[in-house]
Amino acid sequence: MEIVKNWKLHVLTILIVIVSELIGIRKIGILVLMPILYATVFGGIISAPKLKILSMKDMEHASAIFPVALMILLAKVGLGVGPKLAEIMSAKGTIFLQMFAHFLGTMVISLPIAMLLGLRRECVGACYSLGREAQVAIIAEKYGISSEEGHGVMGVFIVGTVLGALWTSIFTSVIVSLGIFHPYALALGAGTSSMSMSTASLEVIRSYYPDPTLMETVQAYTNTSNLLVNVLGLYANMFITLPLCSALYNFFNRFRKQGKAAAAN
Amino acid sequence: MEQKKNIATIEWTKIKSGAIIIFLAAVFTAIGNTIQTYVKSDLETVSLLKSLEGSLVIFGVAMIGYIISQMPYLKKLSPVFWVGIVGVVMSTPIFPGSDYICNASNVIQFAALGTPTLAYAGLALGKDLPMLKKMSWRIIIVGCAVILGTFLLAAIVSQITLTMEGVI
Repeated sequence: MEIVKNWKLHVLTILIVIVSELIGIRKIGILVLMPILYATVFGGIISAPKLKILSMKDMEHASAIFPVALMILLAKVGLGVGPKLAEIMSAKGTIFLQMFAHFLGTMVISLPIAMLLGLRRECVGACYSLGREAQVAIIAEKYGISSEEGHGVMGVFIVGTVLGALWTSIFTSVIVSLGIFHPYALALGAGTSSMSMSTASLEVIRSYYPDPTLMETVQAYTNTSNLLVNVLGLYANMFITLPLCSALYNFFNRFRKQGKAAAAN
Repeated sequence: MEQKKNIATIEWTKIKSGAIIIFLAAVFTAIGNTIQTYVKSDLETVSLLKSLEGSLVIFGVAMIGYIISQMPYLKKLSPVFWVGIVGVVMSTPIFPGSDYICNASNVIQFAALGTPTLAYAGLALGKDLPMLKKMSWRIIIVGCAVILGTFLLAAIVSQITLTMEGVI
């Protein structure tokens, strides 16, 4: 309850909301800047330790409030699915397939890069999932948060929080403007990210395809895929992707060691 | 370290503080939503009262899911799971009152829901910045690769299977 009574946080939040929404969506070239991005950045600036506006405790409270406040977003995601259920079921196979694509997608590009950059077991924590709150908890339980795996997942969690929405809107803009993908496929791609990133992608897609009926279906696809990933993700991450990523790391690490040994000779 | 949850009890304090936090997030969303509809030229303006009604309906749905997620044994599954499921069930056409629930909550822009939540996340960021610095630029590249890979692979697979299924 102490967390809830931190009125300083709530007052700052409503001020941030008002200012962010007043600025509104701005397009700079292919870059789409959104209120959720301003809100994150303003929050980050206000909480910078140098400014001494918020104490360590305030920030801990804010990070405890965040996942609970997220419930309202999740409820809306769920509400968007029901009316479209019948329509979405016609693409059932696709939605399930892209969900598996999501689980492999987190590591397909990132694991090789992480290993080339010389990260060690951090790779496993970083690449086995999108690294949101629930996935941080999985690693914390299995390896401990101060382990190498723990550093990896915390790193990706922070990167996702700070840069997730920005990075997502940048590459979504590029991918959408290429015109290779149908908006439905983009919608399913967008849905596999965390909530804030999904929202960012969806806003970019919306700015390219303003047709409201098309967007309604696009949003329903995104919501369903997002819901599936969120609902099943925890278990898939725990039982499939974490062991898989760990095994892949060990497998490739052998070559890295051999390469080093060969270079030494 | 995380504490082991006692799964046979109801978490009353968590429900109480959860209710306050979700309520505040709902009210902030309503304010942000109304501002957004005034700022964005292509949106029909929505009065604050109408926004409040919509966000309180969403609050209700979220609370039902959240309370379920704190019940004995049910809390083994995350609140994410329960809140999402409750939302789906309450908006299917066969659910009594789903018309009202959908119409009322539709006035809330999806983007407006993220702003208050992300503001809280932002306010927690200051303390994580030194750690991110310590992880250096490599983790930033890896993190971006994680996000991009997820989007790309899902979009590619979807494009192929949707084409094969004849949906697009």
